[in-house]
Amino acid sequence: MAQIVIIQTHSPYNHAKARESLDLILALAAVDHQVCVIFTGDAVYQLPSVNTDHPRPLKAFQKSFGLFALYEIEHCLVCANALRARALNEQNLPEGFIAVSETAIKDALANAQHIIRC
Amino acid sequence: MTRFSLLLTQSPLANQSFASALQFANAAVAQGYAIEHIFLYEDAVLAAAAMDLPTDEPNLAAALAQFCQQQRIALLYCVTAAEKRGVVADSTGNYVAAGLAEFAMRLENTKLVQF
Repeated sequence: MAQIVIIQTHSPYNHAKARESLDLILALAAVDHQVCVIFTGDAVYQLPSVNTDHPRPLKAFQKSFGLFALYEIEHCLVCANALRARALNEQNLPEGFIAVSETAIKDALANAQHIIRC
Repeated sequence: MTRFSLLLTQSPLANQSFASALQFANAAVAQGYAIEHIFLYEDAVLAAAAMDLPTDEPNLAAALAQFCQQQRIALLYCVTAAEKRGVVADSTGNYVAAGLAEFAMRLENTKLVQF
């Protein structure tokens, strides 16, 4: 079992990266790696809740964030500065996600055995 | 002796990531290190498709496949990422279809380098 940090840097819909990094996170956690996910930069746009009542051509993959607890992914860190710079509210994060300082993010990176940037 | 896992996520046609990975792998093997496997994810899976490039363009996908064959290094691509891009693997069998779980399991006791 390795400690793996996944750094999410992309917004939800203008790349396949956000969706595919979610697949990767769940696969790593499924084989008992200890996974920490960091959302920074435009990746924080993945976090506001999505209105799925209207038909839309893009998959609302963010619903799968709800699986993190099931996969025992306990560390979901969101860069507070990135939220602030985009006028997003720290209070409306998905359950279990916490806004943290850049120092806390550096600490998480320092403790990782593997780092994957998505 | 350190064993490396390499993760490629960018297209073989759009930037230097395949060239950098190949250079790294060559240097590692030359220094006596082992490459446990090379895994292609996201746009890197395009390398698994049959490609017919202009003759004056470097074919980095073929160069990587040749290197892995010579060194007997597992060269895997994510089958799900390939399917999402409509990629059908070429008939050489140099690139082997695999799931993300295999990548996750092969990370054990290796150092991961991403390109």
